[in-house]
Amino acid sequence: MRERVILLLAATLTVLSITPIARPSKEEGYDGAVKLVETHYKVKRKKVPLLARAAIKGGRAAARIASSSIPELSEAGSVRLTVFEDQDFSRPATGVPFMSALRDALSAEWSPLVQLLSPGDNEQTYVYMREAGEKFRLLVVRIGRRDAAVLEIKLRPETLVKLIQDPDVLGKTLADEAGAGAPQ
Amino acid sequence: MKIKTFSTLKLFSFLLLTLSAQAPALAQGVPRLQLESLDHLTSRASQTVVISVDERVLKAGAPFLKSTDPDEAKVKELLKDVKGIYVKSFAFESEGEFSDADVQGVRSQLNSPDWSKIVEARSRKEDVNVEVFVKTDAAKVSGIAVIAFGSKDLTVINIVGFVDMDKLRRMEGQFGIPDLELERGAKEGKPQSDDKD
Repeated sequence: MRERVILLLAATLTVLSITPIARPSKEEGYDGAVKLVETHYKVKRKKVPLLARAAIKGGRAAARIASSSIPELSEAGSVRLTVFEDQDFSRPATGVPFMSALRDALSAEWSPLVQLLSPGDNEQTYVYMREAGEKFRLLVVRIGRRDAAVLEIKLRPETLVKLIQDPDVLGKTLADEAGAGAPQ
Repeated sequence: MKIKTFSTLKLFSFLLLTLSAQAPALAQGVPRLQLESLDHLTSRASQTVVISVDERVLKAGAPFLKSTDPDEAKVKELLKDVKGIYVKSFAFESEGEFSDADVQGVRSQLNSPDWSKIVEARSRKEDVNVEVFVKTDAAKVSGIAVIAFGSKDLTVINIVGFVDMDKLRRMEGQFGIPDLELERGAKEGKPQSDDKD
Protein backbone atom coordinates (compact mmCIF):
# COMPACT_ATOMS: atom_id res chain seq x y z
CA MET A 1 0.00 0.00 0.00
CA ARG A 2 2.73 2.39 1.05
CA GLU A 3 4.72 1.56 -2.07
CA ARG A 4 1.71 2.34 -4.24
CA VAL A 5 1.26 5.67 -2.54
CA ILE A 6 4.92 6.53 -3.11
CA LEU A 7 4.71 5.45 -6.73
CA LEU A 8 1.50 7.41 -7.26
CA LEU A 9 3.02 10.47 -5.63
CA ALA A 10 6.14 10.22 -7.77
CA ALA A 11 4.12 9.78 -10.94
CA THR A 12 1.89 12.74 -10.05
CA LEU A 13 4.86 14.94 -9.30
CA THR A 14 6.50 13.92 -12.55
CA VAL A 15 3.39 14.66 -14.58
CA LEU A 16 2.98 17.99 -12.81
CA SER A 17 6.60 18.94 -13.43
CA ILE A 18 6.41 18.30 -17.17
CA THR A 19 2.90 19.66 -17.75
CA PRO A 20 2.71 23.41 -18.31
CA ILE A 21 0.71 24.97 -15.54
CA ALA A 22 -2.55 26.35 -16.90
CA ARG A 23 -2.59 30.09 -16.34
CA PRO A 24 -5.81 31.64 -15.20
CA SER A 25 -7.78 33.01 -18.13
CA LYS A 26 -6.83 36.59 -18.87
CA GLU A 27 -8.53 39.34 -20.71
CA GLU A 28 -7.84 39.04 -24.42
CA GLY A 29 -4.66 40.79 -25.53
CA TYR A 30 -5.97 44.08 -26.83
CA ASP A 31 -8.50 44.72 -24.05
CA GLY A 32 -6.01 43.61 -21.43
CA ALA A 33 -3.34 45.93 -22.83
CA VAL A 34 -5.69 48.92 -22.97
CA LYS A 35 -6.81 48.31 -19.40
CA LEU A 36 -3.21 47.96 -18.31
CA VAL A 37 -2.21 51.30 -19.83
CA GLU A 38 -5.16 52.92 -18.04
CA THR A 39 -4.36 51.44 -14.65
CA HIS A 40 -0.58 51.57 -14.90
CA TYR A 41 -0.48 55.27 -15.77
CA LYS A 42 -3.90 56.33 -14.46
CA VAL A 43 -4.91 57.73 -17.82
CA LYS A 44 -8.09 57.76 -19.85
CA ARG A 45 -8.52 56.54 -23.38
CA LYS A 46 -9.78 58.65 -26.21
CA LYS A 47 -12.40 57.53 -28.68
CA VAL A 48 -10.87 57.00 -32.08
CA PRO A 49 -12.81 58.31 -35.05
CA LEU A 50 -13.48 55.87 -37.83
CA LEU A 51 -11.34 58.00 -40.09
CA ALA A 52 -8.23 57.18 -38.10
CA ARG A 53 -8.97 53.52 -38.34
CA ALA A 54 -9.54 53.92 -42.04
CA ALA A 55 -6.05 55.37 -42.34
CA ILE A 56 -4.44 52.14 -41.35
CA LYS A 57 -6.86 50.14 -43.44
CA GLY A 58 -5.81 52.31 -46.32
CA GLY A 59 -2.45 50.64 -46.04
CA ARG A 60 0.01 53.50 -46.02
CA ALA A 61 2.32 51.35 -43.89
CA ALA A 62 2.07 48.59 -46.42
CA ALA A 63 2.85 51.06 -49.15
CA ARG A 64 6.10 51.84 -47.45
CA ILE A 65 7.17 48.25 -47.36
CA ALA A 66 5.90 47.11 -50.71
CA SER A 67 4.73 49.68 -53.16
CA SER A 68 3.26 47.02 -55.40
CA SER A 69 0.95 45.70 -52.71
CA ILE A 70 -0.69 48.71 -51.14
CA PRO A 71 -3.87 46.93 -50.02
CA GLU A 72 -2.00 44.38 -47.97
CA LEU A 73 -2.87 45.79 -44.60
CA SER A 74 -6.36 46.58 -45.74
CA GLU A 75 -6.85 42.87 -46.16
CA ALA A 76 -6.08 42.52 -42.54
CA GLY A 77 -9.76 42.37 -41.75
CA SER A 78 -9.83 43.85 -38.32
CA VAL A 79 -8.11 46.78 -36.74
CA ARG A 80 -8.66 47.82 -33.15
CA LEU A 81 -7.16 51.02 -31.90
CA THR A 82 -7.16 53.02 -28.71
CA VAL A 83 -5.25 56.24 -28.27
CA PHE A 84 -4.37 58.21 -25.18
CA GLU A 85 -3.60 61.85 -25.83
CA ASP A 86 -1.96 64.62 -23.87
CA GLN A 87 -1.67 62.77 -20.59
CA ASP A 88 1.24 62.08 -18.30
CA PHE A 89 2.99 58.80 -18.95
CA SER A 90 6.13 59.68 -17.03
CA ARG A 91 4.77 58.54 -13.66
CA PRO A 92 3.53 54.97 -13.46
CA ALA A 93 1.11 54.27 -10.63
CA THR A 94 3.09 51.22 -9.58
CA GLY A 95 6.78 50.42 -9.26
CA VAL A 96 6.48 47.51 -11.66
CA PRO A 97 8.06 48.19 -15.05
CA PHE A 98 5.45 48.39 -17.78
CA MET A 99 7.39 45.81 -19.76
CA SER A 100 6.88 43.18 -17.04
CA ALA A 101 3.32 44.26 -16.34
CA LEU A 102 2.40 43.85 -20.01
CA ARG A 103 4.00 40.42 -20.19
CA ASP A 104 1.98 39.38 -17.14
CA ALA A 105 -1.21 40.89 -18.51
CA LEU A 106 -1.10 38.88 -21.72
CA SER A 107 -1.93 35.22 -22.01
CA ALA A 108 0.79 32.76 -22.93
CA GLU A 109 -0.35 32.63 -26.56
CA TRP A 110 1.06 36.10 -27.11
CA SER A 111 4.79 36.09 -27.83
CA PRO A 112 6.96 39.18 -27.72
CA LEU A 113 8.25 40.09 -31.16
CA VAL A 114 9.79 43.50 -30.68
CA GLN A 115 10.48 45.51 -27.54
CA LEU A 116 12.09 48.92 -27.81
CA LEU A 117 12.76 51.03 -24.75
CA SER A 118 14.29 54.43 -24.65
CA PRO A 119 13.78 55.83 -21.12
CA GLY A 120 15.65 59.06 -21.93
CA ASP A 121 13.11 59.89 -24.62
CA ASN A 122 10.27 58.39 -22.57
CA GLU A 123 9.43 56.02 -25.37
CA GLN A 124 8.42 52.40 -25.17
CA THR A 125 7.20 50.22 -28.00
CA TYR A 126 6.06 46.64 -27.61
CA VAL A 127 4.92 44.36 -30.39
CA TYR A 128 3.40 41.03 -29.46
CA MET A 129 2.03 38.42 -31.82
CA ARG A 130 -0.12 35.34 -31.76
CA GLU A 131 -1.30 32.96 -34.40
CA ALA A 132 -4.80 33.42 -35.77
CA GLY A 133 -5.44 30.58 -38.17
CA GLU A 134 -3.32 31.24 -41.23
CA LYS A 135 -2.72 34.83 -40.18
CA PHE A 136 -1.13 36.54 -37.23
CA ARG A 137 -2.58 39.00 -34.78
CA LEU A 138 -0.21 41.77 -33.90
CA LEU A 139 -0.59 43.79 -30.74
CA VAL A 140 1.31 47.06 -30.71
CA VAL A 141 1.59 49.15 -27.57
CA ARG A 142 3.43 52.42 -27.91
CA ILE A 143 3.91 54.79 -25.04
CA GLY A 144 5.51 58.19 -25.22
CA ARG A 145 5.88 61.08 -22.79
CA ARG A 146 2.38 62.51 -23.39
CA ASP A 147 0.68 60.06 -25.77
CA ALA A 148 0.12 56.35 -26.12
CA ALA A 149 -1.57 53.96 -28.50
CA VAL A 150 -2.70 50.37 -28.38
CA LEU A 151 -3.32 48.72 -31.72
CA GLU A 152 -4.33 45.24 -32.74
CA ILE A 153 -4.20 44.19 -36.34
CA LYS A 154 -4.45 40.93 -38.20
CA LEU A 155 -1.75 40.37 -40.79
CA ARG A 156 -0.90 37.83 -43.40
CA PRO A 157 2.33 36.01 -42.54
CA GLU A 158 4.23 37.33 -45.55
CA THR A 159 3.31 40.89 -44.61
CA LEU A 160 4.58 40.28 -41.12
CA VAL A 161 7.85 38.88 -42.44
CA LYS A 162 8.31 42.01 -44.55
CA LEU A 163 7.56 44.24 -41.58
CA ILE A 164 10.03 42.50 -39.30
CA GLN A 165 12.79 43.22 -41.75
CA ASP A 166 12.89 46.55 -40.02
CA PRO A 167 11.54 45.87 -36.53
CA ASP A 168 12.82 49.21 -35.23
CA VAL A 169 10.14 50.99 -37.18
CA LEU A 170 7.53 48.25 -37.12
CA GLY A 171 5.74 49.36 -33.98
CA LYS A 172 6.28 53.03 -34.60
CA THR A 173 5.06 52.85 -38.17
CA LEU A 174 1.92 50.95 -37.31
CA ALA A 175 1.09 53.18 -34.37
CA ASP A 176 1.75 56.34 -36.36
CA GLU A 177 -0.24 55.09 -39.32
CA ALA A 178 -3.10 54.40 -36.99
CA GLY A 179 -3.27 58.07 -36.26
CA ALA A 180 -1.69 57.90 -32.84
CA GLY A 181 1.12 60.15 -33.91
CA ALA A 182 4.62 60.18 -32.60
CA PRO A 183 4.89 60.44 -28.87
CA GLN A 184 6.00 63.89 -27.85
CA MET B 1 11.92 -9.39 -1.03
CA LYS B 2 9.42 -6.87 0.21
CA ILE B 3 12.23 -4.57 1.19
CA LYS B 4 13.77 -5.01 -2.23
CA THR B 5 10.47 -4.11 -3.94
CA PHE B 6 10.16 -1.04 -1.81
CA SER B 7 13.71 0.02 -2.70
CA THR B 8 13.05 -0.55 -6.37
CA LEU B 9 9.97 1.62 -6.15
CA LYS B 10 11.89 4.31 -4.34
CA LEU B 11 14.65 4.11 -6.90
CA PHE B 12 12.10 4.33 -9.71
CA SER B 13 10.43 7.31 -8.06
CA PHE B 14 13.79 8.97 -7.53
CA LEU B 15 14.76 8.40 -11.15
CA LEU B 16 11.46 9.83 -12.40
CA LEU B 17 11.84 12.91 -10.26
CA THR B 18 15.48 13.36 -11.17
CA LEU B 19 14.80 13.03 -14.88
CA SER B 20 11.92 15.48 -14.79
CA ALA B 21 13.98 17.97 -12.82
CA GLN B 22 16.78 17.72 -15.34
CA ALA B 23 14.63 18.25 -18.41
CA PRO B 24 15.85 21.83 -18.94
CA ALA B 25 19.46 20.72 -18.63
CA LEU B 26 18.93 18.04 -21.27
CA ALA B 27 17.76 20.75 -23.64
CA GLN B 28 21.15 22.46 -23.54
CA GLY B 29 22.06 21.13 -26.97
CA VAL B 30 19.48 23.43 -28.55
CA PRO B 31 21.09 26.25 -30.54
CA ARG B 32 18.84 28.85 -28.88
CA LEU B 33 20.55 30.76 -26.12
CA GLN B 34 18.90 31.73 -22.86
CA LEU B 35 19.29 35.49 -22.64
CA GLU B 36 17.03 36.20 -19.67
CA SER B 37 20.10 36.78 -17.52
CA LEU B 38 20.55 40.08 -19.36
CA ASP B 39 17.07 41.36 -18.58
CA HIS B 40 18.21 43.24 -15.50
CA LEU B 41 20.19 45.57 -17.78
CA THR B 42 16.96 46.99 -19.17
CA SER B 43 16.52 49.28 -16.17
CA ARG B 44 20.06 50.68 -16.58
CA ALA B 45 20.13 51.03 -20.34
CA SER B 46 19.37 54.22 -22.17
CA GLN B 47 18.14 52.13 -25.07
CA THR B 48 17.01 48.53 -25.19
CA VAL B 49 16.08 46.53 -28.25
CA VAL B 50 14.72 43.01 -27.93
CA ILE B 51 13.75 41.06 -31.03
CA SER B 52 12.30 37.54 -30.98
CA VAL B 53 11.32 36.20 -34.35
CA ASP B 54 10.53 32.54 -33.98
CA GLU B 55 10.02 29.69 -36.38
CA ARG B 56 6.24 30.17 -36.55
CA VAL B 57 6.59 33.54 -38.29
CA LEU B 58 9.44 32.52 -40.54
CA LYS B 59 7.88 29.21 -41.52
CA ALA B 60 4.49 30.76 -42.18
CA GLY B 61 5.64 33.90 -43.97
CA ALA B 62 8.86 33.25 -45.85
CA PRO B 63 7.50 30.68 -48.33
CA PHE B 64 4.89 33.21 -49.52
CA LEU B 65 7.48 35.82 -50.47
CA LYS B 66 7.63 36.12 -54.22
CA SER B 67 10.73 34.80 -55.92
CA THR B 68 9.90 37.01 -58.90
CA ASP B 69 10.18 40.21 -56.84
CA PRO B 70 13.91 40.98 -56.41
CA ASP B 71 13.49 42.41 -52.89
CA GLU B 72 11.26 39.62 -51.69
CA ALA B 73 13.46 37.01 -53.32
CA LYS B 74 16.45 38.40 -51.45
CA VAL B 75 14.64 38.14 -48.11
CA LYS B 76 13.34 34.70 -48.97
CA GLU B 77 16.84 33.51 -49.71
CA LEU B 78 18.20 35.05 -46.51
CA LEU B 79 15.56 33.37 -44.38
CA LYS B 80 15.89 29.99 -46.01
CA ASP B 81 16.71 27.41 -43.31
CA VAL B 82 16.55 30.10 -40.60
CA LYS B 83 14.37 28.99 -37.68
CA GLY B 84 14.65 31.91 -35.33
CA ILE B 85 16.24 35.32 -34.87
CA TYR B 86 16.79 36.59 -31.35
CA VAL B 87 18.50 39.88 -30.52
CA LYS B 88 19.08 41.71 -27.28
CA SER B 89 20.85 45.02 -27.51
CA PHE B 90 21.57 47.56 -24.81
CA ALA B 91 23.11 51.03 -25.04
CA PHE B 92 24.19 52.81 -21.89
CA GLU B 93 24.84 56.44 -21.03
CA SER B 94 28.00 55.67 -19.11
CA GLU B 95 30.63 52.98 -18.74
CA GLY B 96 30.45 50.19 -16.20
CA GLU B 97 26.71 49.59 -16.43
CA PHE B 98 27.24 45.96 -17.38
CA SER B 99 29.88 43.59 -16.12
CA ASP B 100 32.09 40.81 -17.41
CA ALA B 101 29.75 38.44 -15.58
CA ASP B 102 26.90 39.54 -17.84
CA VAL B 103 28.93 38.70 -20.93
CA GLN B 104 30.26 35.54 -19.33
CA GLY B 105 26.71 34.38 -18.63
CA VAL B 106 26.13 34.23 -22.36
CA ARG B 107 29.60 32.99 -23.24
CA SER B 108 29.32 30.08 -20.82
CA GLN B 109 26.43 28.69 -22.86
CA LEU B 110 28.76 28.56 -25.83
CA ASN B 111 31.40 26.51 -24.06
CA SER B 112 30.01 23.15 -25.14
CA PRO B 113 31.92 21.17 -27.81
CA ASP B 114 29.24 21.76 -30.47
CA TRP B 115 29.84 25.50 -30.36
CA SER B 116 33.04 26.87 -31.83
CA LYS B 117 34.31 30.39 -31.94
CA ILE B 118 35.03 31.36 -35.52
CA VAL B 119 35.65 35.08 -35.14
CA GLU B 120 37.15 37.13 -32.38
CA ALA B 121 37.86 40.78 -33.05
CA ARG B 122 38.93 43.27 -30.45
CA SER B 123 39.80 46.87 -30.95
CA ARG B 124 40.46 49.11 -28.00
CA LYS B 125 40.84 52.02 -30.35
CA GLU B 126 37.35 51.62 -31.69
CA ASP B 127 35.98 50.26 -28.41
CA VAL B 128 34.53 47.16 -29.99
CA ASN B 129 34.74 43.46 -29.22
CA VAL B 130 33.04 40.96 -31.45
CA GLU B 131 32.89 37.21 -30.96
CA VAL B 132 31.08 34.94 -33.37
CA PHE B 133 30.27 31.35 -32.47
CA VAL B 134 28.82 28.64 -34.68
CA LYS B 135 26.95 25.55 -33.55
CA THR B 136 27.28 22.44 -35.62
CA ASP B 137 25.25 19.27 -35.47
CA ALA B 138 26.47 16.37 -37.56
CA ALA B 139 28.78 18.68 -39.50
CA LYS B 140 25.91 21.01 -40.31
CA VAL B 141 25.56 24.54 -38.97
CA SER B 142 22.48 24.75 -36.77
CA GLY B 143 22.96 28.10 -35.12
CA ILE B 144 25.11 31.15 -34.77
CA ALA B 145 25.72 33.47 -31.85
CA VAL B 146 27.34 36.88 -31.80
CA ILE B 147 28.44 38.74 -28.71
CA ALA B 148 29.40 42.32 -29.45
CA PHE B 149 30.24 44.86 -26.81
CA GLY B 150 32.02 48.10 -26.19
CA SER B 151 32.30 50.05 -22.97
CA LYS B 152 28.79 51.47 -23.34
CA ASP B 153 26.92 48.86 -25.31
CA LEU B 154 26.22 45.17 -25.38
CA THR B 155 24.52 43.17 -28.12
CA VAL B 156 23.82 39.47 -28.31
CA ILE B 157 22.51 37.94 -31.51
CA ASN B 158 21.35 34.37 -31.77
CA ILE B 159 20.18 32.95 -35.06
CA VAL B 160 18.82 29.42 -35.03
CA GLY B 161 19.11 27.39 -38.21
CA PHE B 162 21.59 27.47 -41.00
CA VAL B 163 23.52 30.72 -41.18
CA ASP B 164 27.03 31.16 -42.46
CA MET B 165 29.17 34.26 -42.15
CA ASP B 166 28.17 35.51 -45.57
CA LYS B 167 24.49 35.26 -44.68
CA LEU B 168 25.11 36.90 -41.31
CA ARG B 169 26.83 39.83 -43.02
CA ARG B 170 23.91 40.21 -45.39
CA MET B 171 21.47 40.15 -42.50
CA GLU B 172 23.21 43.04 -40.75
CA GLY B 173 20.93 46.02 -40.48
CA GLN B 174 17.84 43.85 -40.96
CA PHE B 175 15.60 41.80 -38.67
CA GLY B 176 16.87 43.75 -35.68
CA ILE B 177 20.46 42.66 -36.25
CA PRO B 178 22.62 45.73 -35.79
CA ASP B 179 25.29 46.65 -38.27
CA LEU B 180 28.37 45.16 -36.66
CA GLU B 181 30.53 45.84 -39.68
CA LEU B 182 31.56 42.21 -39.76
CA GLU B 183 32.76 42.81 -43.29
CA ARG B 184 35.83 44.58 -42.02
CA GLY B 185 36.12 42.54 -38.84
CA ALA B 186 38.44 39.70 -38.17
CA LYS B 187 39.07 37.00 -40.68
CA GLU B 188 36.96 33.94 -40.21
CA GLY B 189 38.51 31.16 -38.15
CA LYS B 190 41.51 33.24 -37.22
CA PRO B 191 41.14 34.85 -33.84
CA GLN B 192 42.80 38.23 -33.77
CA SER B 193 44.95 39.58 -31.04
CA ASP B 194 44.13 42.80 -29.28
CA ASP B 195 44.52 45.96 -31.27
CA LYS B 196 46.63 47.92 -28.88
CA ASP B 197 46.79 51.27 -30.57
